[in-house]
Amino acid sequence: MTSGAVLRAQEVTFGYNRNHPILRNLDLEVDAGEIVGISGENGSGKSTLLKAIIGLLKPQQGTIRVRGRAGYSPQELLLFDHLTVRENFRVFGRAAGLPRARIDHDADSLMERLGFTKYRETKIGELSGGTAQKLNFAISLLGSPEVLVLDEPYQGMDHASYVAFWEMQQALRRHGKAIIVVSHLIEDEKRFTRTLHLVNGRLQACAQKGCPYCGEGPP
Amino acid sequence: MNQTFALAHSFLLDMLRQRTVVFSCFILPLVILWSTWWVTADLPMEFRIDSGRIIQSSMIDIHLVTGALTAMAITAGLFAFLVTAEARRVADPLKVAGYSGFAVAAGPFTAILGVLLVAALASFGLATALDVPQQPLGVLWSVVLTTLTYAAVGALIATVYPRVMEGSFIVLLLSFIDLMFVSNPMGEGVYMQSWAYWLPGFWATQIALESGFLATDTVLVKATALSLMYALALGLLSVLLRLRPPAFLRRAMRAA
Repeated sequence: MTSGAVLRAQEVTFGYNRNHPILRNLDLEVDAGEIVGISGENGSGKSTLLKAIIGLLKPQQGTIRVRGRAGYSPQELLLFDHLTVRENFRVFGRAAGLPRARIDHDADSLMERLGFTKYRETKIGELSGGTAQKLNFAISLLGSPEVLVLDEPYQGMDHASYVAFWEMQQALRRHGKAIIVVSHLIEDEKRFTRTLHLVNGRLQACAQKGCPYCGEGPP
Repeated sequence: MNQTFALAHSFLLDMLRQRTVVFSCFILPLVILWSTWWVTADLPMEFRIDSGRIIQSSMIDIHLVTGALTAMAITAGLFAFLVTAEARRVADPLKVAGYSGFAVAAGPFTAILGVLLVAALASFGLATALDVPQQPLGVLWSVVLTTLTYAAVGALIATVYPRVMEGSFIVLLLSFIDLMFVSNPMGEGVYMQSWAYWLPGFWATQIALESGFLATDTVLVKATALSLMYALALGLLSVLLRLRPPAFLRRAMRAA
């Protein structure tokens, strides 16, 4: 890994069916303080790549190295539906080795910033899609991970929350966190330090204006 | 261990707060048991057990002895199925958050065992309140064995096919056919058929029948060994399928 790199994937090949790999000799290096956007067609392997990065899938070839801990916000809500927001924070915060008082403090702060404090004692199954997504994202921040892996993290968020989300990303970036975001929104590209397209199992750098993978490119 | 108990606590809260879980795992078995017992005629019956002993009893007494097993099979199978299916759903984020693989596997398992131990004692207490068996401890042991085998059945089904509707139906149907019909002397024409020996509840029922009506223990050792091996084999199969799922299973899991 280069000195600033916190994530390095080399020659990664993975497929659910070994004869049809989704990721083919894929390379990726992300430095501290970067926000890398990844886009691609449906089924191109974006979520698979993220799962490989956080260690849920083992590449059939190649290596992935992450310096420090990774926080993960999956596309779908995978929390305890019948526990409250606060209880879910405690379950996941405990995994990061945090004491309860610290978890509650961090959870209160995150809920405040993302605007869902009033749902603190609400069960997950009763939350709206957007609020549940905010919680998903907030939980990924517990324990201050060095790398954040976010799979379409702002689906269903209202505009104010979306703005707050990006303000938080910029603050995290300034604190040296590396962030990888899967996004389909072309207007997000200006917020990334780099945009990559996942095409035929490999990552291609966005060529900005006239990029063949994103039409007209970012404004 | 702290992680394991923290997860067991979370799974328990998550499950027991669901009215559908409480109804299907703890109330429905009692309703089925009560209604079956209520419609059973009090006619004399004679049947044999695996050791060759002949038992003379009545239909209703057989239901009193085997009823606790049926209720426990439904409770254990459904609860283990639901907890395992939930555990599969949240396993990935828990691991990424920092829980060890052991805690993610053992947490739900501890929750299942804790709840089922209490349910088994309640089931045994209910059965002995209705009728005093010859050997109460033998009946209690058969309830425990049924709990273990059907918990393993539920966990295996959730590993292979974690859809709640279909999985619950399979657990319910299997436990009913096994303990109320095939492994039960009431199952005329099928009881003690050679293929019935392979059902999860067969050997525990043999212990219950002997302990309920006789003061002997001719089937105890063999039935205990086979029941425990059955539960262990299913448990190991679940773990194996979880760790190294074959291609057809991976496709089914993704679809589910």
